[in-house]
Amino acid sequence: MHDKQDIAGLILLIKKGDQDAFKTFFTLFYGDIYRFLFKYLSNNSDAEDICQETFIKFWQQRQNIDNSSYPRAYLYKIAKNLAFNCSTRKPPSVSYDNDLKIVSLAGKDPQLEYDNKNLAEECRKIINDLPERCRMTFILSRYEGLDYSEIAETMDVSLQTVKNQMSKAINYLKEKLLTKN
Amino acid sequence: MIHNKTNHDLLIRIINGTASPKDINLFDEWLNQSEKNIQEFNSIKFLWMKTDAYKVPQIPDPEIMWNNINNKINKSPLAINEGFDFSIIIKIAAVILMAVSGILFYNHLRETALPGNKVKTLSDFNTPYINNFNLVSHNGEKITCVLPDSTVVHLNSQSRLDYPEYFAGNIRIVNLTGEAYFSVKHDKNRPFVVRCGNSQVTVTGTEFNIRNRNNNTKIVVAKGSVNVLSLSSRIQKNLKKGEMVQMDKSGNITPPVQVNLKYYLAWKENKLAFRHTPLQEVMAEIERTYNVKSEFRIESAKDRTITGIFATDSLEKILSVLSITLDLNISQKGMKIIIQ
Repeated sequence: MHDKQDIAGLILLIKKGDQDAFKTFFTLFYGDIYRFLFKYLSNNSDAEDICQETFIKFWQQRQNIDNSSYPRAYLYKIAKNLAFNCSTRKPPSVSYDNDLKIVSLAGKDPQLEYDNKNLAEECRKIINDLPERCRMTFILSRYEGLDYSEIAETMDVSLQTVKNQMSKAINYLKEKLLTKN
Repeated sequence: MIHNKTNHDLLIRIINGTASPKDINLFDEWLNQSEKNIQEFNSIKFLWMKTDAYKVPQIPDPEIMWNNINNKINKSPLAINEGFDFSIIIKIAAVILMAVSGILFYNHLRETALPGNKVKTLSDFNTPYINNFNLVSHNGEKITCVLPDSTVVHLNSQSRLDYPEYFAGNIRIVNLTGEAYFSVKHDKNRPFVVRCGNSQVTVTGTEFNIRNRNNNTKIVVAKGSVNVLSLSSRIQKNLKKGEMVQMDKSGNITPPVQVNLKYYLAWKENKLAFRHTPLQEVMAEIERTYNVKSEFRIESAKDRTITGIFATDSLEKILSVLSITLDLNISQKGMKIIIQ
């Protein structure tokens, strides 16, 4: 998505306290982080708050960013920790409809819209059934496009654990989503 | 259990289009080992498609969020906004999301069963498990789309782009009819190739516009350089930034000439630009942009030429400028424009 070198350059500037660079960095990633949090929390306002907090924390901890590792994973890691700590997590509410507006614009056919909505709802339910860490691993891979090493760093686990979690998630989802039709 | 042995990591890279050439070799090998592997890959790919619907939450206003963040990290809040236009980013993102989700979902619907299991090599573009997408813009419609390799394509009205679900192998090929602006993701190991009419444009990472209307293809380079090849005459030309070539039906290519880019890229900014353009062509462009039909009641008016750049927000205004400039009576009745 973004050139690794560009990001590394931005990180260097951010570490020096360059707020313009931080703003650019924010612009590049806030959408990703928000979407990730939304998927995990299924709640608009929590996702928004934690997204904001993630970037504030990233700035405050900017000196701790390891040049050699993945800056993206570092950002996701902060978001993940905040999300895990978010005690207000409750079953998803009606806010979900907002989520589907963009998708439904794509197809003007009402039947198609309806199917699309149902499919999204079905996906959401089944993904939410996964155990917490397994679910987060799957979201990072499927929706955020992180590779396994980045996920390992984000989740603070070994590569093997990521592999196991992903296999678990994939097998579960396959069974739930693909066997029906 | 076969699942436990499956290298999902590799399969996901293949599906996401981030696989390296080494990955692709490994993948081909693995795929050929058994029918089961093919089924496994198809089912994962299908799972990816199925879960695609759950993909696009609306993003909150970044400006508000940034201001909050900024207030927290600065003791004295920054009063001045440095003119960073978030709204544009949001709009672009929305269009891209719409386009991408639309395509992916459309494709999902088309695929009622798991794809067939016959062909076994990824290098073949027509394999059943690499889907080909097409993006079609009708009259009055423009589409922005992000390809699997992050290349961004702006499709002008009445155009069509065909591209694979992901780019396998060492080359990225797409097919275009009509007009599009490409902002190609740089990848020096995997050239990006646009086939359009009988022309073929090859780049590694650059920005350019291709317009193919009435068997005439115009290629203009906005950034970097491109190689233009005529598939029929095998003539090749290299173009640099700001240069344009034209190719006719039989594959003759004009020498590259330096042009004023704004005339060629105006459509992207929702403008119409003409330079000594015959009214007939002007009206054809207006038909595509506004989804209207025109009718000439004076034959000789077709060859009168126009030069100028028009904003496309008001068709009425354009028509009135044309009427005055050419001293013609141009009127609009519903979807029809009459020139007399």
